[in-house]
Amino acid sequence: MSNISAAQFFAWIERYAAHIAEQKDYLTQLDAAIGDADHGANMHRGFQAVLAKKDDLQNSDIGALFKGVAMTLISTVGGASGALYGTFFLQASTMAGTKTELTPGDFASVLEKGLAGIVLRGKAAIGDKTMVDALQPAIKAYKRSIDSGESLEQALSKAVSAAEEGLKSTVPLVARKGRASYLGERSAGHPDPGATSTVLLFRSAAESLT
Amino acid sequence: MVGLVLVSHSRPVAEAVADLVRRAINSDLQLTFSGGVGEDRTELGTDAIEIQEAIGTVYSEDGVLVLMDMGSAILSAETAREFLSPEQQAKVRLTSAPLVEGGIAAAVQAQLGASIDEVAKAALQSLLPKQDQVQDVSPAAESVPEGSAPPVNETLDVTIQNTHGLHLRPAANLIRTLSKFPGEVFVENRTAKRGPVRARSLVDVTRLQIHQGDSVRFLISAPDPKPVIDSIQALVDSHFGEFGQPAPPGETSDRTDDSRPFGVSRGIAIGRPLLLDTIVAAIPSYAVESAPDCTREIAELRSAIATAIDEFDSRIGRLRPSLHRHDLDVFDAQRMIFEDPTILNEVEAKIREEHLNAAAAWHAVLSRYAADQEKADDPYLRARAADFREVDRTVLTHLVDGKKGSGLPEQPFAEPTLLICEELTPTLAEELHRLSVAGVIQLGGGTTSHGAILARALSLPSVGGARKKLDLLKAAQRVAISGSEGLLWIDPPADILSDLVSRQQLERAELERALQESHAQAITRDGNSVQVGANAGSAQDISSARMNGAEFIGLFRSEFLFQNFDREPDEAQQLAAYREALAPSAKSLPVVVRLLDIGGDKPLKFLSQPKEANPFLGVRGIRLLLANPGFFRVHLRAILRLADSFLIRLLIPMITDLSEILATRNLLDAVAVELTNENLPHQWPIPVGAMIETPSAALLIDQLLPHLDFVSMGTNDLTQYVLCAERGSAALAPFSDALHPAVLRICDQVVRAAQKHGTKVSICGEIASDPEALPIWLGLGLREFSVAAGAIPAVKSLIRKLDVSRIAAQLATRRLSFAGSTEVRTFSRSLTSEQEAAADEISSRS
Repeated sequence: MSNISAAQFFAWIERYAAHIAEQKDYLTQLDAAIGDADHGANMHRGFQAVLAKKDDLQNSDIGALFKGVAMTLISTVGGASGALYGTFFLQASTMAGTKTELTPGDFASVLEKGLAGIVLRGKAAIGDKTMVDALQPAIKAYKRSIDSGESLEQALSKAVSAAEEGLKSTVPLVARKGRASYLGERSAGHPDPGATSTVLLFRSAAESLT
Repeated sequence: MVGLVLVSHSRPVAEAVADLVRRAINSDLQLTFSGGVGEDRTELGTDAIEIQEAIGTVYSEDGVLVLMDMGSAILSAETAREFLSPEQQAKVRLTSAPLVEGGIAAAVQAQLGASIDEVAKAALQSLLPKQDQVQDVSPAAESVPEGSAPPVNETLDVTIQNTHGLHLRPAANLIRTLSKFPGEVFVENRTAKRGPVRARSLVDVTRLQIHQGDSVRFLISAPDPKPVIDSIQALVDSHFGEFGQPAPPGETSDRTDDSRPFGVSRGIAIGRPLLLDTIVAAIPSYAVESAPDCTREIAELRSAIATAIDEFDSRIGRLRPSLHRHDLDVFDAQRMIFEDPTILNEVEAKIREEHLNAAAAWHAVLSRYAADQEKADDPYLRARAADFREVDRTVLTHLVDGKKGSGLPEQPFAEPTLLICEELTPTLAEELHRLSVAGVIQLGGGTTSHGAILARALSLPSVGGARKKLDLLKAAQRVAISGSEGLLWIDPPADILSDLVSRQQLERAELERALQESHAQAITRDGNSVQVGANAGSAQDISSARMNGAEFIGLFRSEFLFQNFDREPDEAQQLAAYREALAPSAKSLPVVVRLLDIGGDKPLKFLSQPKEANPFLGVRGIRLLLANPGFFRVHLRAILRLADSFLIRLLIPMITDLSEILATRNLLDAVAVELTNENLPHQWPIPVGAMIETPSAALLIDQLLPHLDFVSMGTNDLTQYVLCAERGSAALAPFSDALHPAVLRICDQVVRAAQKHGTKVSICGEIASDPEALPIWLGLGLREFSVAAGAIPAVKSLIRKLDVSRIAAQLATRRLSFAGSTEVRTFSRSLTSEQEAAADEISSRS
């Protein structure tokens, strides 16, 4: 099975930045329903700042790439999504280290490390109506698929479907973390914005890593 | 001076609060702020990097307190703290205090030169004066002694029914239950006018000294108080989980008189006395001046506590098969003392403020709790002082350098030996088991102490309360005890000795006869033969199973073997561990080896996995093995190689559907080919069975049976899954009974399907040895049981008294009408007493 290069990972980040740019109004609109209407704008600001560092990032090893993304997000996004996506990439960078390419199996461990960081930072679990609802099933689906010998393409496509399923599952939920939790029962009936941007993260991966 | 950092989403807010604090204090401060993101920081948001830099500018050895507004400000502050060096992290605190009030209160303390603890405390309490003035907080909360009192929005008054009041075990249940809800609950003993205290610390709650009949008020401060109230009421109604649990028979007498020995555990023991000095060698005492030294002492203490808990858990784990659930709860309560937040706070305060070293501070606090407990009026509660002393000692042995071991030899005693100790503890009990000690003389201890429970569970003759005899005991050559009468002889004269020896022989002969009978097959009155096996987890368990007449090992739990490994054991290590543990089966006793059954609820140091929201519904048993194919392959190879020299049946835990059985079988086929190619001796095929413990497996049983050689019903988990009732929940005690009609129906289906298919079916849960449950299982058609080794003689003797076809007929008419487990139990009791009477009549006639 083919490995994933640092250049592909950078393409992933670029692809994701493009998705966010395209969807920023939609994300903000979702956030307006249950949060403070800043998710789209915040993420866009963060990823534009990442793109501004393109020259440094695109020639780095994978660990340095993820770390660069992490630090930029942490200091520019502003909202909870900055700390959370930042932690995700920061933890992922410690797992990727100085490697310049990852096997699909390595990538699973990198994703799991990132997830563990988010769970620890946000103290959220499945069912709390957060990005974890999309992230965890997506990573599990990816790992299961890779472990059973399927191709990277199949694994990423399964991850996207699992993330989408996870996102759907957030609609009826009542938020228990973050700003949305102040709304209590009224947060039900809306998809979670963080889970929505997580789906985009995996879509970007499926489009750029294979 | 302690530094302060103010964090807000809005830069103008952060800046203005800083200005307000400076002007209010009008004195030098180490104060700065952080806030806003984007260009010119005009957007709302927080930046972890900026917060980290802000902390850096006010940082000193004295520490830094960070106050934030909310939401992502907290996440960013936490992230910022993580970017600091570990030494700095230890000195930087985040507080939940309100930004403005907290900022001012903290600044007042900081410029007075207060410690970080005092500054943080002042910030947390900063709302109290305002609440006093505005008077919008319920007056009940004002009596809460310390900390910031959140508004109480609901109260509940109850009268406590428990015989011993709210002692450790029920209090532990209360704390465990309440910890699941957001908000705070306070408890007040209205009768004794004690409290209120936070229902978070075991020692705080037990210090209220709540006795039977006391009026207790719960003050609830929660966003949604209704479910909290309901849970408390359910706990009160179920006697805090002591539901239907009478005190041990004849053990409730008041043992206030310490001057005479009393019986603790039956049996006669004669032998050489051995005094065991369990006092830890000198506890070092030195001053800890600097803040980093304090931090280091605290870290050492925490790590000693963590090690002590690990050790405690593994010892209790190993004793588990010999203990009743009721007794296990007692240890559960003791375990809470290790982690009690109030105790930890006090010890840490002693280290930081009185500059005591960790060992001295820990010992000072724990001895005081033990002494307080000893002042209790209730003898049962007084006996709990021992629990504190053991926690004290256990942690100290890990904390003190050059620690003194138990002082016991490595090898079993050559001649009969009676151990003299302060009190029997789980740690000691396990050793005594290993050393074949004849009996135990406890200097203190009560009839309801842990030591007493353990001695009875291990059938170890014991007396307690022998302190006044200590000097005589020290000089004695030979001592004797009779546990049933509570008698102690020191250097007994020849005539008494010979009398004791003959009584002991009589006792032994009786025991022997019971054991001998236990070695014969159990056949019911109407001629059905029943196989009785034992559950085991170690070589010791298997020896004890053989001794008690087990016909097979119905469940060998692999978990205990694996607990000893810090990292993933390789094939050779696994094989060696199994071989050693199974050696006493002498290759003639069939052993059902359950594949390593772990999950989020009982993690190992290796095979780690993310924390799960609900571990019992998570990746456990076969699910975890299939998720770790590399480890699973090695595990199966080890077991197939083991099967070359032992009679192994393989049991798959936590089966949900057929796919898992097929996946396991495929892997077994594959590793068998590998082993053949590598010329390694092994055995395949061997019988493969599934644990039926999920409702899914029971419902799909007809699909599973064609692929299985046997099935085993795990009623412990099956009960909690069928009744959706967590095993440990005291409030759900009525739903923790495997005799619930819903569980019976599902078991009935499994047994019928297995019989139809000609597949062997056995039962291995705790409930298999329950005398009220046994007739029911027999009536349903079960003929194979696996129970705790010590229960085999009693189980076999009951089986011999029963007429199974009559039970089956009576059960058939009633089976579908039972509404709850109480009805089933009443039915079973009437059935047994009728049949036992008939059996006695027959034996008296013959």
